[in-house]
Amino acid sequence: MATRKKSLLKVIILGDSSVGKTSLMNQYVSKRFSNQYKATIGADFCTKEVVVDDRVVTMQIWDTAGQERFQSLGVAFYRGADCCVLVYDVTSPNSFKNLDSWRDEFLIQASPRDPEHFPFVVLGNKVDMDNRQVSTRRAQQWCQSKNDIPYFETSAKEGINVELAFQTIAKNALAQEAEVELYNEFPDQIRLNADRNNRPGNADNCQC
Amino acid sequence: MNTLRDSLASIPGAVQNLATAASNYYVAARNSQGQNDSLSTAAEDRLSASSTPTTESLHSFNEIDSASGAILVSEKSLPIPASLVKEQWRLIFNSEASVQDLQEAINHCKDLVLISEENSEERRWLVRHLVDLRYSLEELQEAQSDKLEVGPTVKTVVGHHFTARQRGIGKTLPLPTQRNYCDYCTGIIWSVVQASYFCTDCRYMAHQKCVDKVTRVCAHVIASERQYPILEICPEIGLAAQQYKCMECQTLLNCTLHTTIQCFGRKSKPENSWIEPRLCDYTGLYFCPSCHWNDQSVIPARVVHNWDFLPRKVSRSALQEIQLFLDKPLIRLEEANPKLFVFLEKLATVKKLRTNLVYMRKYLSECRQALEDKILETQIGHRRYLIQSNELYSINDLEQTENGTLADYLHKVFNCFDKHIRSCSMCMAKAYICEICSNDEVIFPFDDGCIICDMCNSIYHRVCMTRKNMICPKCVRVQERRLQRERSIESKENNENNPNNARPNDI
Ligand SMILES: Nc1nc2c(ncn2[C@@H]2O[C@H](COP(=O)(O)OP(=O)(O)O)[C@@H](O)[C@H]2O)c(=O)[nH]1
Ligand SMILES: [Mg+2]
Ligand SMILES: [Zn+2]
Ligand SMILES: [Zn+2]
Ligand SMILES: [Zn+2]
Ligand SMILES: [Zn+2]
Ligand SMILES: [Zn+2]
Ligand SMILES: [Zn+2]
Repeated sequence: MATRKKSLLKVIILGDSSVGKTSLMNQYVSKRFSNQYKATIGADFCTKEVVVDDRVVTMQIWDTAGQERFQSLGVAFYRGADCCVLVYDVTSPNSFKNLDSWRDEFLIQASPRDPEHFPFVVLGNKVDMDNRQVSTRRAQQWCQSKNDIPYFETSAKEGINVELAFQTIAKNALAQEAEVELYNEFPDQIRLNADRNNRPGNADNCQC
Repeated sequence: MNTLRDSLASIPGAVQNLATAASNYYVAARNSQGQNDSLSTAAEDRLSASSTPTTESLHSFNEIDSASGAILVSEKSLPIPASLVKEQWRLIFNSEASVQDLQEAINHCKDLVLISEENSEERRWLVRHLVDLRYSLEELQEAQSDKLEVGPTVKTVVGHHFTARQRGIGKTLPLPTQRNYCDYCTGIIWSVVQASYFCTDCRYMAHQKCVDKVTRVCAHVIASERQYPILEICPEIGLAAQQYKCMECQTLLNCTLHTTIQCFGRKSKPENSWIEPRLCDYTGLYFCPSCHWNDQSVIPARVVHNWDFLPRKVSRSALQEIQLFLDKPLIRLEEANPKLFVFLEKLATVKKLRTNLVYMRKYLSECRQALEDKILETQIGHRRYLIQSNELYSINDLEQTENGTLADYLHKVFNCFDKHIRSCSMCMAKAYICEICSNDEVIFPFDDGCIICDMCNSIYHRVCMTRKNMICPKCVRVQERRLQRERSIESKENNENNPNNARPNDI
């Protein structure tokens, strides 16, 4: 294991607008939920101290505007991310289909050293609602096909699984750090392209 | 009323700036002659028709004095002989003059006439001036006798929002030769003895006794109905089409020149004289001298089509209307005249600066720190439209483009915005990274050497993009995904059409 570890973890939350990214972050950081929808402007972050493996680290959580009106700006902040959280809404099949493009765009823009093993976490949010449209099985299949991304079903409203999901996010982010140090000289450019070209053909994609 | 208006003697205006030495004046006069009018034409004008305040003016121009809200008519007419310049303070007065001021001026003028040489330039000027002074005194005394009390402080007449100006509230005119004229009767507003009204929307000014008779619809109403300034150059329809009538007051414009006996510019009888038709360069319509004072104004259409900022003669109503349009960002210049951007480097520079500032605004308007520091408000305030898009221009913007002040101003704003963005961690977080070279250097859409994809807004180094034959990799991805989706929809449809192939939907 690596000896030097960062005490700041950078986490990026991505997903279509109104899937509950801001709500999840608020639920996790300040245990609050509001039914009022307020579009996120641009990108901004919140911080929270977390204890992982008996260590206190600061988690910097970047909430983004999704495809809302301010997508026009750049995403240089993806660089140096330690974990990327992909969120969809279990009542919206489109938001699920778009996970592919969110993941692709993240990998290209963040350009991590080992894209294939970069830690993602997928959250199927709004499980408290009764008009569910995307089955657990379908979501799990997709996660498996992407190198076994951990998958959680959450409700920002009821606080279901939120704490657990973010604990996993923190853990995986820290673990990634260690691995990165092992794979220091990895030729990321080639990996990046390979990943892009070998995308499974069965996924339903759409424009980013 | 009419006789008063028609017999109003023209008062020789002073030099454009009383502080300027007479020699300077002649230079100025010669320059203006070269530009537009000729002195002799103006002199003929003066002799033939002199019923309006500015008939005299070679090129009078109007400025809005924002403090007083008055349209200041500064006159430059028959030059005061150089030898009399030192006396001008005692001879020339403005509409804040009192009866006593005028009487003193008359006495002084008389003295000077007596000591001046016969047939000299001085004598001629002084005699003429004396007539004018006497006439003005008469008018002022008459004004003093209309014992009208000040009416309501505000008043609405044909769309004007009039505000009362009490009599006796004086000394609002910064120059001694500037006078306020009544837009209705064209007479001087003797502010010491006469109450008046001015329109807060269009600056129309009228005596209190005239205000209820005003017929010209407020220029603000016209401008808002028209929405855009007229962008056709002097759309003349001809006098015949106007039935030889003034477009505003319907006065018959008599074109046959009667030889009338003129007495120092004063007409013998109005019926005998001809009423000069005056062309308004803005509307292309003819007006009578009461409705067209030979005011000069920049013409929006000439700016847009010919990049020509020379002032042209316009009617009173046109002047008031143009003034209202001057600072309104209404002109889609590139649509109206794309060639200008090719030929005028100044314009191309301003456009580039505005394009960059539009990108910068997006950063500042979603940055908490920038909002807190009110950077946008303090830097650009009421001219926010300049950085909202790069398309709309006001006439003032174009004039400032020509004289270079707009580019200077935008440069200053650019530097301020740039300083914030590059030192702000939140703004830097929203920079771009060129995905072609994947170099860690951050880039911004307003950086030189960057290129923006019009389709997806991605940003790349220009050299990188050239290397990729100008094909945007992100657009290629988007295209690929769309094709994939279409293919999957197609196959789904095929499955639905073939019941044997149907498989359970896993959603
Ligand atoms: N029922 C339910 N509503 C949710 C949940 N999470 C978010 N919402 C609602 O969904 C809307 C969009 O949430 P928001 O967090 O702003 O989505 P974002 O655009 O992804 O940041 C809001 O009206 C939330 O109240 C959830 O878990 N359950
Ligand atoms: Mg949000
Ligand atoms: Zn008005
Ligand atoms: Zn009047
Ligand atoms: Zn008229
Ligand atoms: Zn900032
Ligand atoms: Zn590059
Ligand atoms: Zn593109």
